[in-house]
Amino acid sequence: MSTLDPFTQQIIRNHLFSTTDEMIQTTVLTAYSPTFSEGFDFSCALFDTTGRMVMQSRGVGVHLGSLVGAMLAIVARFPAPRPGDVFITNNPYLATHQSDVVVARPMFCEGSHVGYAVNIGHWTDVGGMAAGGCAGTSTHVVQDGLIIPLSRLYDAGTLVEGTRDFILANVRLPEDDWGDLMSQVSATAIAESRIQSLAARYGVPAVIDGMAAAIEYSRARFLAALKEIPDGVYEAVDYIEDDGISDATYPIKVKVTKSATGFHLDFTGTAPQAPTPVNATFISARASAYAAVVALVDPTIPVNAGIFDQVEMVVPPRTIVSAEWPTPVYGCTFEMAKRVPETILKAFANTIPERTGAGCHASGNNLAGRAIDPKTGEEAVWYNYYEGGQGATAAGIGNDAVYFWGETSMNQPIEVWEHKYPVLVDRYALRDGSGGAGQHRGGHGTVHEYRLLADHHLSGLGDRHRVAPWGVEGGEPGLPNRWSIRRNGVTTELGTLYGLKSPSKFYDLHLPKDDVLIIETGGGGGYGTP
Amino acid sequence: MRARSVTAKQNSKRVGIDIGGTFTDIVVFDEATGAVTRSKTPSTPEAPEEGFLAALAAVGVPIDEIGTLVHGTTIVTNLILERKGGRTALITTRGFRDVLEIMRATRPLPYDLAWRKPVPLIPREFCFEVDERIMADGTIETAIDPANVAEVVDRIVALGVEGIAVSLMHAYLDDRHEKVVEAVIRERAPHLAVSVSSQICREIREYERANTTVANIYSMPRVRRYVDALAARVGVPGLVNYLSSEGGIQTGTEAADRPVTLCVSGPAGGVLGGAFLGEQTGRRNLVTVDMGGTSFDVAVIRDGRFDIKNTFEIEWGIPVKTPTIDIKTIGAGGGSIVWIDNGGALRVGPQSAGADPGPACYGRGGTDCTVTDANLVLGLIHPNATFPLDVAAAEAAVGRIADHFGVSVREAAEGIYRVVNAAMATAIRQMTVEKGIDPRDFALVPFGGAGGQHAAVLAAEVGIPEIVVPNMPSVFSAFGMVSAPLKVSRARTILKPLAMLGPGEIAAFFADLTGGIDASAFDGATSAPRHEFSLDLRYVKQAHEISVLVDPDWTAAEITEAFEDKHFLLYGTRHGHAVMVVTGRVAAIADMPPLPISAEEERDDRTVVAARTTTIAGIAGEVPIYDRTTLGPGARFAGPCLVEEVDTTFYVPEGASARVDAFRNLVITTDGASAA
Repeated sequence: MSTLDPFTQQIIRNHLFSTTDEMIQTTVLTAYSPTFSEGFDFSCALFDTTGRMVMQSRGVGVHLGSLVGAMLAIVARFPAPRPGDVFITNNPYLATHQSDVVVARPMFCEGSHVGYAVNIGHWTDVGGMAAGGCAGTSTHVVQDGLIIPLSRLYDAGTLVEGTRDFILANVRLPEDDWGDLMSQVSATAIAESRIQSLAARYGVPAVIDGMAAAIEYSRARFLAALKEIPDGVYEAVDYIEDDGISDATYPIKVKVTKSATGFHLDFTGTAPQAPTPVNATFISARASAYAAVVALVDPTIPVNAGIFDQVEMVVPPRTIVSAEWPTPVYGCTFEMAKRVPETILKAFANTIPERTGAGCHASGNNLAGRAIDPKTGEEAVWYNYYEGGQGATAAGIGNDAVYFWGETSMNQPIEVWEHKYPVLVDRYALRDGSGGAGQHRGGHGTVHEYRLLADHHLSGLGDRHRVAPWGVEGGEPGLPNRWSIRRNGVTTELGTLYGLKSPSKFYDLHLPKDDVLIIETGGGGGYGTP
Repeated sequence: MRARSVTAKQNSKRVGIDIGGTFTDIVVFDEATGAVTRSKTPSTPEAPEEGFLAALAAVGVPIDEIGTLVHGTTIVTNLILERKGGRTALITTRGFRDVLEIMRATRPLPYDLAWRKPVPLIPREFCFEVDERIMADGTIETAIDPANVAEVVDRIVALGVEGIAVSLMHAYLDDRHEKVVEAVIRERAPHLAVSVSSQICREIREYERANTTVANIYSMPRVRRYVDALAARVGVPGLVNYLSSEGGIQTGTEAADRPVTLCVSGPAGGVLGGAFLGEQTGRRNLVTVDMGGTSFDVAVIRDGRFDIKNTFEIEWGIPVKTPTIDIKTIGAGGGSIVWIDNGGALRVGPQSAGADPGPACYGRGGTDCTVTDANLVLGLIHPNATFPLDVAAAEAAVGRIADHFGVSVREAAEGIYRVVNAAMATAIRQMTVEKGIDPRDFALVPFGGAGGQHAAVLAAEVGIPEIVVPNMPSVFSAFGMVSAPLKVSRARTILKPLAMLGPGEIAAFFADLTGGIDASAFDGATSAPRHEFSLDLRYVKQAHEISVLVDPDWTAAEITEAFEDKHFLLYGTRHGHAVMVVTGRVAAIADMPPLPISAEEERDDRTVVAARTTTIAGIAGEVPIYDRTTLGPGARFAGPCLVEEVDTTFYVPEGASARVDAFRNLVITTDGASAA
């Protein structure tokens, strides 16, 4: 039990939240890549000294939940942190995938270690076989990018130049990556100074106590809201539709046992790990499941260890949601971060129809391109992922053109995009007819048409190009995602044009200048008979 | 604005009118006598011009005695929030008609499937495309065809719209295509209003630019009707001027052409009042805090000037890029509702009881506990000051909170007071310490109906040593409008690396930008306008800019140094990488004649007599209440005490000392003040 009065607890909780919000602002305002600064593909959180999450910012659900794994590893590896230390890693088996780099700073107030400020964000390039990542057909984790083992980036305030130099020597965009890394480091520094001012006002013990109270507060709200969901067993299955190199389909089966104290998630029966990067590690799959649980119970509760403690996940080893080294997992944030939570929500679609609803486009539709920019003569590397249609619910129509509900990513303005890359966007519009019909229609996806102003090499890692977003209660399915090329006036589905095994997983296709790459994102399923 | 006649008496009155959602505040300053009159009357949201005239009637000022009238209004914000703007259309580039529907494709919070996107200001069926395309490097990829535009305009006209917004891709680089569209509209449909993105918001990012242009055209029909109605009712052409979001006086014409510049018109008045107070009393550094019924606004005046920011969100997802005084707003006011969430924690706001039914103690049927109820229970407001307050109702409302925590009613009220103070203190810190500004060099200027009950504790909490409570704190925004300068600003995207700009190129750019400002905007000023120049700068690879005040004749090295210093101050890093010049801005500012408020003699021998006493439960016990109208310049007294005036109460805590200055401002020093 906290020794703080309830009013002081609330004051400290508010301060912790505004601190994570400032971390977001600092990162966005100073980062170099549009992935960070326009797309908001990063997340921030505060942890206690034992590595338990205390407060998270807006951001990407799979990032945040995965930090649970990364932080336990950091605490174990560096048991005696010093002021000014900053730790870094992108080991995919500790968090998500190599592109997401974790930066963690132990926070000290008046000489006492009080917790950690952490930023995890998606670097536009981390080396590997595909520029900008997204090699849909890699078969070994090292092909997906440099792995930064858990390291010190700053040692008691001094930059470890060897670490920095090693990283920047192995990426294609050293300046962008450095600028993004500095924005992450700045965000953690800002957080430490905010917590120091909190300690100056209320004292170090109150800060530590207030962090623990924040966890208990979330737990209390979670348990209270949990009562509104009937106890029972809920089951669903969904699929990763292909692996890019074989004819296999990969079912994801979940059996959810909901009780008065939380959720037991059993993924027994889920497919074995795939040879290509459609897999997730256990840590990132569990993070994705956390997002579903929060959405089901009460999306307004501050998310932290108080909720995570009430979720138990059981998975046999080496499945598509518990992949192990050296199986690639690069697609975990693109696909499994959407597929796992949707499968869980699908299990509750008839029980809580206003907070679950029909299927969404549920893919990042991630694409990465490289080209020699004719204006500069230099290699341009881009990476992007796309919004689509949200499924309709009992409460109303699905939103058109939004990123998946487990994240607060933003689109990158076309005008900014065109300044950076040799691409002319001919069209960015709603994809009419893509939302499934229903009493409430599903949200429409979007259409992006990229006219290539230079020869491109393109890699892609998407899914849900064959299996449509489902409808609920008689609602019709939405249209699935689709990638096509218009070449010399003829539009052909990309996989067909290149004779690919998969329409959505490939590596380094050559697209000549003047091709138009057409990205159509899926619509949400409808709710109720139309 | 109207040329001023110099004949005294005849039009010696300067009037500020601030129409808010609940009240219309008016302040009249008589240049001939120095006398100041004020009034607070109910607003009439359905026909704001009625409330405007009622306010004038309440102070009994004949129109022909008014020399200058400045009006602040929430009309634009309200009509956008309520989606009560005009029937308007958008013309954009082929391929981009859904720019308003798509927005930035994001959501305010993850995990919430029930959340719905905001409704765009112009529905999809009213968004049209024309064939044309300018590329990012300025190349014209598809030239515009007036015949194609004419066909589109004719289709729009057939829909019976009142106005058309034009926002084409990369028009911030090159406005020629937009000019063609504008010319075609004016030729084929001269009765329609037009807003063009390169004139309203010449900045990169297609959604934000389009939405700003759309917000402008969407609000224009109603704002123009309002401006015309006021002008007709007042009967003197050009008499009514408007306060812009960046704190300058605009003519009715400018306001009706660019209504989007009025979004923060009201709050801007309070900051101007703070700037005036600083000048009057020789203080260069002030933090203004405006606490009303629903919100708490913080602004910083540093070395005599306030910062301008260039993006404002009217609601989540509906951004407007227009110069706005940098004001931080949080949802904490006297009417903020106190509640217990399902985790058992105390929450304050953002819901407000407003003025109707208002706090429980208003006795108008409200039962929710509010901040004002807690303040009444604590004794920070006297129950029989402005109108009788129902203490029993307040105690019952706070009592429900107390029961939840198992504490006394007084302890619960103290807890509420502490939680709301901490939230406000955080907002002040974010505007000061967290931007590298040391609050110990500042004075706090509190105003608004609820500001006085919290200011002293906030000052102690953030380390501000001095508080200056202006005269008439509850109508201070209207007072600020009287003191406003004339101000017109313009901005244009440059988007070139600093290293690529030749010597003299920035000076030439600013000269050109300044030349676009119509000199007639400064009729009535005491002098020719002065100019403030700023550049929005970033490292080449960054996406977001920092606005830096510059001298047009600075070298690239001087500009770089100013940018890197500010970057270091805000974010703690200095990268030494190349700098991009994104946007150049000029503000032309000309002063109105000074307000001849004269200093009175401060006398040490003034007697200070308490009107009565009250009890501040749990904080200070029995304390005196002073009537502010009886406190002459030089009067001194110590806390704990309350100072009452017509419609607000100021709490001076123990350890603080108070003095009335030569302008009858109440100056409080908080050294050693005990924060409750």
